[in-house]
Amino acid sequence: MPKLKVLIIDDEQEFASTLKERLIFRDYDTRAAFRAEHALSSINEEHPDVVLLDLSLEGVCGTDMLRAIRASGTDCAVIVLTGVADDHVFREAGEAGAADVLVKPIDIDILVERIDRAHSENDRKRGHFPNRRTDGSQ
Amino acid sequence: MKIRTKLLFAFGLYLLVSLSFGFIAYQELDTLTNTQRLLFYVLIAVALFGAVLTIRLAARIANSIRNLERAMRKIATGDSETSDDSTQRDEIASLETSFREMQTRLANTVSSLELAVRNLHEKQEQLVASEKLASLGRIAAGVAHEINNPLSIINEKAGLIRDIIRSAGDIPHRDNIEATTKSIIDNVKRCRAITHQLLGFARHMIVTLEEFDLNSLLEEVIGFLDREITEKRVRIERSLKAGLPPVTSDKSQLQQVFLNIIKNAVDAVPEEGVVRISTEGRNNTGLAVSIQDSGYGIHQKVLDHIFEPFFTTKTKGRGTGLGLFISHGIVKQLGGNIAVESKISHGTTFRIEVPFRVRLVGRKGEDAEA
Repeated sequence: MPKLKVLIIDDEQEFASTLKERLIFRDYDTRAAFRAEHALSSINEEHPDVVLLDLSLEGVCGTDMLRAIRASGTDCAVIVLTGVADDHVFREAGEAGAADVLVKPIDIDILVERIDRAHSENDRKRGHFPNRRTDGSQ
Repeated sequence: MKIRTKLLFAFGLYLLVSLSFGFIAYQELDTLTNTQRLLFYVLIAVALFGAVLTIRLAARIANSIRNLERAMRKIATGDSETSDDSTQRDEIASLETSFREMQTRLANTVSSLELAVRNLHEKQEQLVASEKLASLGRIAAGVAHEINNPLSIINEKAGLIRDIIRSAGDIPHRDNIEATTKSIIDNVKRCRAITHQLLGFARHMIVTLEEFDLNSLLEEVIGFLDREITEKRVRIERSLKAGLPPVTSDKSQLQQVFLNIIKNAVDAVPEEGVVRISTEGRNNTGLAVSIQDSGYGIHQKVLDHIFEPFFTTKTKGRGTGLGLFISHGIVKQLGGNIAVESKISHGTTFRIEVPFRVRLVGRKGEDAEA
């Protein structure tokens, strides 16, 4: 199976770079963008399958950013990362189009599980069937 | 000079004048006809009769004024006992009655005012405490947010070390390195629990109201703890009174409170222990929830501090000591009350009172609509 493409958008560079390394370790084709402006152009160029978006980006409202990604027409799944475990954050993010919300500090095993889940749900919505293999076996 | 003396003096003058006229008239009596003489005697009689009436009326007035004066003096000295000695039904009697009514009303007003002043003092104290709590909350939130960032980085770095070690071949001290990085990650989780609770504490400054059924909320919370309850085979005994009216309050914050307390109860009981949860109405102002555990109980010395921040009897690493502090804050914030009783070897009971409608202690700009 081809590797999933993941894009991390977080202005905490050390965090984003380290997480990138760990995801690459786990066989995800991962990039990181540290600024909101670069993020959108990155998405358009790279076409990631899953985007990990930090809600507390400097100078940008996280949920606005989320809506912008949704509005840009790309069909990537967006998982939101936040420091605040709040009902209303979950609700807002969900309404703005997030596939999932995770609270920092994150457990990498859970993250990986959610990335896979978000992507396969996205696939299903698009009409792809993730269990079909290229060699025809099920 | 007293009224009675004045009256006597006036009457004396009247008597003098009348007698003088009488005397003068009497001198001329011989010059009058019989009819005129009869008229004269009638006039004397009328004058005497009138005098008697006047004396009686004057005496009554003087008496009433004396009573009023006595009654007034009673009020002035704070004596609230009233006496009833009016025997006639005229304006003076009604004046006395009105006066006694005024006496009673005054006494009532005074006690209402005293009560109002006490309430105001209490509200003022609450307001000051609430403002302090709000600042504390903001600081706590700020700190928690700031710490979360380096914490996330430590978490990822330690995780990366672990990833590398696991994929490396045979390296010296492998087990040691693995164990050490696991410890780092575990301690990061501990920090996370604290920052999340601190953020929770700050968040409860903002209240969102909705109407909900308290019994259903409790069942939901019991559901959340299903794993712990099943693992320890704890028996949950419910006495949730049916037909209780719905509550308008902050549902998610109350959920947090009940989750905290019921979880504590489940933690406190031994295997196959019992936790009793009951609800009942509380004299039309709200509902009361009682959570009783069959655990060991809590010593009075500990009970005295149980709602303080960072106070915990759990061993280091378990529990942050903020749960009950935040729960207490939330319940008070929503206009309710929380109390705990315990008996060694018998168990502990938490009683949480929730009003039907939230009574927020005012803070500018952060109150939700009730």
